[in-house]
Amino acid sequence: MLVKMAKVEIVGLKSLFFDVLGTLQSCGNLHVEDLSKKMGPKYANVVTMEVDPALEEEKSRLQNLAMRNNAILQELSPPEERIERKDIKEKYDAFAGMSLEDITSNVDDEEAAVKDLLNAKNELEAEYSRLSKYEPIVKKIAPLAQQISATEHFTSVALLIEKRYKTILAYIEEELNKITNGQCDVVSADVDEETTAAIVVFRKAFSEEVHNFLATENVNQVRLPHELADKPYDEVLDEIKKRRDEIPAKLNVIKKQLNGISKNWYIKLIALKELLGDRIDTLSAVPKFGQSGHVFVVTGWIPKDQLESTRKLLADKFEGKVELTEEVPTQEELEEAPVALSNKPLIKPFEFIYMLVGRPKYGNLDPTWLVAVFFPILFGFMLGDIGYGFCLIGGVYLVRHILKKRGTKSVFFDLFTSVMMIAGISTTLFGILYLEFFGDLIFKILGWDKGHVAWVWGHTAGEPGHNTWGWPVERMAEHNPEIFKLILIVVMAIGVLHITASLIIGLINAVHEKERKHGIEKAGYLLFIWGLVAVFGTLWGIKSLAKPGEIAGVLMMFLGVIGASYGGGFGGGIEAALIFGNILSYARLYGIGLASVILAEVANQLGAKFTGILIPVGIIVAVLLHSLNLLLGILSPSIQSLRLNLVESFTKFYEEAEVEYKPFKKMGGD
Amino acid sequence: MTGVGLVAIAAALAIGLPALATAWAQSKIGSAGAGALAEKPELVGTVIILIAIPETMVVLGFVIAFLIMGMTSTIEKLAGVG
Repeated sequence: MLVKMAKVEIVGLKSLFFDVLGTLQSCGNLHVEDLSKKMGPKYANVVTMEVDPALEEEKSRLQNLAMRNNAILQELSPPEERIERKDIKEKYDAFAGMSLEDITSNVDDEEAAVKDLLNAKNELEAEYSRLSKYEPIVKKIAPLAQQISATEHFTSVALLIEKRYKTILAYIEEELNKITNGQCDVVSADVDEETTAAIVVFRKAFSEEVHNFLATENVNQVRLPHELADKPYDEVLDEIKKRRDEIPAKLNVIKKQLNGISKNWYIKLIALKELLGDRIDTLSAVPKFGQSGHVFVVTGWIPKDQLESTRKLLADKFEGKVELTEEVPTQEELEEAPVALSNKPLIKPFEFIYMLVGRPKYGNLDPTWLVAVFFPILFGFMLGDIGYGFCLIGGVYLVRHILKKRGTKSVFFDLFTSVMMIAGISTTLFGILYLEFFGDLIFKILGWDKGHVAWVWGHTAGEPGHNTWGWPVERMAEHNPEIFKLILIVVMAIGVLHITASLIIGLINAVHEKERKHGIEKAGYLLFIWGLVAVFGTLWGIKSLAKPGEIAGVLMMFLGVIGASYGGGFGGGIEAALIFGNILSYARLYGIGLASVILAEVANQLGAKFTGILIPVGIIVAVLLHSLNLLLGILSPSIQSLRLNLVESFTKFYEEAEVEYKPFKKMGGD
Repeated sequence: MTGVGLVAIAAALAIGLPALATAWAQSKIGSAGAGALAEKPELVGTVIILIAIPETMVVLGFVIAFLIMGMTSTIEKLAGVG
């Protein structure tokens, strides 16, 4: 659900401004509005809070220090030991008591200690990369160079040409003969499938003209670094190899030294990063405040449940000299209200959907619960397999365990792994419903055939002709097209329920926002869908009600199109008809599910082909194919479930928020 | 050609043609999406969804093909009766 927000105005004595600023930042719950963008008749006498030059200077110095500190932090690898939050807080508090000069001298010390090491490391890495680039080129040219006898009056240039353009060499030789009066020679050879190397030997006296000519013709000349340029190619190759072999050892020494520094300093650097960030944030917030005479004013939003505690805190700390008032927001202000989400732990992971679309608009219903209900159902319906479900749950558990051990915290991975864990449970449950364990592996191992399935079905489906459904559903559908059709109807029913739920949310939002036309549009769509259900339901299902069902259904569809056209215009009428396509789109659930089952069975059948001493090979083949199927089975249902949620469901009601709740708070410290 | 053969060809067309159409649409969206990602990497989620949209064609084609294949048993029965 969306957190209820209170619009607030805080007014206080200017002399207390920086204390209040610090208190609000420590409280960490006020989403500050930029008052300079809010100036209206209400704030006619209010001007933006000025930042005096000394503060500007301080901010600029803090930004410079933060940049230098972060640059060092970026270059150091985190220590292997887990970093505890309390250690960072301890350092943060120590820095908080220091003056700007002390902090500056601290950053200077840090830089002095790591600067030379970092420079040396960067140079070695750059050299290694440069040598790696030259080595294959020189390797290609060196054998060719051995064919040339060098004299002191002659020099040479190496060229690399794509093999398909090698005919250009004849033209180059002809032109160079003209330039050098015949005192040149071109030796060439194919060095690999795509490249021809050539060495042009000519009198030193014509060096400038030859280089000019080659530059004009845009020929790829091999240019070695100056320290290698004058050496013969075989010597250059030896030199490159020697230096390349030396660099990793040198780099290791430097990395060890840097790791030693990181071990001692990493926590300090993080604490300093947080402190500098917090101080910069404090100073950056100043221009968002307003002032008038002896008072300052700030407006913003606070979660409603924290309003009283914040008011009390300000009143107690500043003895009534700072006042927090709740205001009634106008409709325009509500449009710009910041959005924060607060969901139960089981639903919270599905907030990942807001990484793909913005958060829901303030005042609307939060649809996270809809995603939490339908995402696992859609995913499980597609992948449904006990074996794959266990693999997914096991894989997620393993990833979480590794991340926890490393102390890595990532919101994305937290949400993603939680969603996959729930999807894994759903996959297992659907697997039980389908009786699938790595496809038909159970059947293969126990030697069951469709006779066994029919026997189980016969005992679970009740009397023939009275109860069509039984267990295991999908196994039976494989041998009975009628059951297959029924499953397709179930898939459509899931679509109807999903879209209906989305339209009901849209209808509630419209009623809440008093948008009559929007409400009628959504009601029109709902009537159209349930008209369709009435028509097809009585045609195929409750046949005794076929006649009245058809009449009522057609009437509902007709009224639905009229309602949708009235509420949404011409496009609304068309959209109502297109909803049928939205429902059909859910057929993908069974399409993808079936593809996954068939691939799993292919894996089992292929594996079973290997007999005798080749059984281990069969097991490897089956495991590889099942792994591929599982990978596809995770990727495809995830994307398709997301698509059904975002395209088929969210388009029916969803409006994105303009502003996300970003409270003015400290990064570090408490 | 037997009825079963014709049904098999119909099923092949039902899955094959939408598969080609999907591939063509995904190639277009994929290349445009890659361009968009180079400019705005934060669009990765949207691009994945956009690439998945044409899959509707092949998925529905697959279902239709499966339904058509289901007709073979009916045709075989009819042929047996005849």
